[in-house]
Amino acid sequence: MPTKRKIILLLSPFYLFFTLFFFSAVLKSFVTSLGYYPIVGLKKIGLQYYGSAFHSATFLASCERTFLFALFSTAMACLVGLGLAFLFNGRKNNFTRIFFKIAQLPVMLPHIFIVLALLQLISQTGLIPSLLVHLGIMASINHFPLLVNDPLQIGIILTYLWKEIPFVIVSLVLVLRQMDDRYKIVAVNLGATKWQNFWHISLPLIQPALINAFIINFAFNFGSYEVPYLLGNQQRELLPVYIYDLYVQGDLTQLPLTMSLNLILSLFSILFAGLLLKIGRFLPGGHTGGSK
Amino acid sequence: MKKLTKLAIFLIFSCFVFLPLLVIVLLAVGKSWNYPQLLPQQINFGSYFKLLFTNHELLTSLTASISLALGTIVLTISIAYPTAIVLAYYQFRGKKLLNILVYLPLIIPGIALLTNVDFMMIKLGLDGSFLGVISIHTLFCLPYAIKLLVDNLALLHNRYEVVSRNLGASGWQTFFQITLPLSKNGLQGAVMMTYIVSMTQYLATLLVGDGKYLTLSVRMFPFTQAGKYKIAAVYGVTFMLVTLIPLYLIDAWMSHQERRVIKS
Repeated sequence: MPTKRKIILLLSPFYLFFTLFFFSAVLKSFVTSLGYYPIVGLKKIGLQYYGSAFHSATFLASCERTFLFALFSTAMACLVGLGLAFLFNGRKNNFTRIFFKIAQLPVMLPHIFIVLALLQLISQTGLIPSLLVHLGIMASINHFPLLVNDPLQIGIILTYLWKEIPFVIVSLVLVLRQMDDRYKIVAVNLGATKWQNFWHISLPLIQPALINAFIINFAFNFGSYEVPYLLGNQQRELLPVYIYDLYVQGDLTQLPLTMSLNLILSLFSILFAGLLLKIGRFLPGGHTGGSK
Repeated sequence: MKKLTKLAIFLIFSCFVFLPLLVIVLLAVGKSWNYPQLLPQQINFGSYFKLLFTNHELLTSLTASISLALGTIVLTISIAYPTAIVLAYYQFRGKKLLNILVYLPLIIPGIALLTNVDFMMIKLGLDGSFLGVISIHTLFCLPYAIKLLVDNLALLHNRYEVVSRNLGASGWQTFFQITLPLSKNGLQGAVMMTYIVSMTQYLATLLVGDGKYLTLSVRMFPFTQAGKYKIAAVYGVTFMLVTLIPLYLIDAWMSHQERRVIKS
């Protein structure tokens, strides 16, 4: 069979699936966001919903808050994960093998799992405040800071760190293990210090994987609903909760607005991911590192 | 000294990971654990297992979770495997675009994608159907599955396939004798990741499933919200039983097989 036909044949399941469930969904919401929603009699096509989205102070404030929150929590997860991955990446060492197995655990469990544990641990009637009072470190549990549903979103950040530090570790260790040790040996031989070795050899080689992990985690923290809903602060609502409420409230005339918000967010996330990839290309290792 | 710091970091990390797991297990098996007691007054594993085998809701959640995960695995692999073969072995126009397309479900914020697709599913009449739910799960599993498979296939290139074809093997023979056995590791990774991603989905299952597929992670949510931590923890422990144990067993079995191959 000619190669071209074979490629088309092999790719057809993917394109069929994506056309059915992805492109059509995006197209449908695009049409709706322009104001065409005949079921409820909306037929006036225009950019009015985008206009009202950009004029809504609640939406913009929520956007900014969510963006900063997602950026901060993702950066934390990536930094800590990077550090730990470098500390424990030996292949032959039993100690680091156990470490890798432990790091895989949180990746396999749902977010609700850690939310439940956090509520039992750090809410004001939780175990950690009780323990501190028990040990005499704190006079009463009222002195314990509010860590869930708090204005700084600490509860949500802890949840994401628990899930994402291990995710970063697992993706980086897999790359580090495949890395060619000879580069390092040559560098050391030529008199490179530990820091130079890290900056010029290891970091460029894992940089693409790190950027990938950053993008995936950022998109998740920016757009996932369940954790902010359970652990978030109601005065400082995060964007996913805002959009979900708008979508399920049942007012069909609001649907074009919801869809325009969705498309704004999607476009923003794609552009942001593109920007990160661009930045990655300028960092050490961006041109050749990790590419196959 | 340096060893000591490393050990300390290792211990802190282990606590960070294990403390929540321990709390969930204690919640599930403990009895009358109320504030301000630091530990449950009674530990009873028997009551947990009795619940597991007799509680109707728990059992239906378990079957819903597993049947959705298995359906998602079949759909994901049958789409991801051919796509990964093309991405790993061939150069063609639009390859760069396809590479970006594959990742889009992970880049677009979940809430935006989910509401969009749910809206479409209602239109297609798939809202609340098995096919609808495994399709939305597949959308989130595909990026991981394709990435794992491509990485695995690209390690080996298609040199063996070329040799096999040169020696006169047919396309199907080459696939079953060469490509499939060589991608065993990639397939294993993709299947395991798909299983995990499908099992952990919450909002996708709830929205597209129209509340008809109350999986373990879906059921944990309202119990947690209502403060019924013990029953939520029972679902959590069941989740651990059906994910962690099988996955570790498969992993151990695969590495055992590998060692046997190397020895012989």
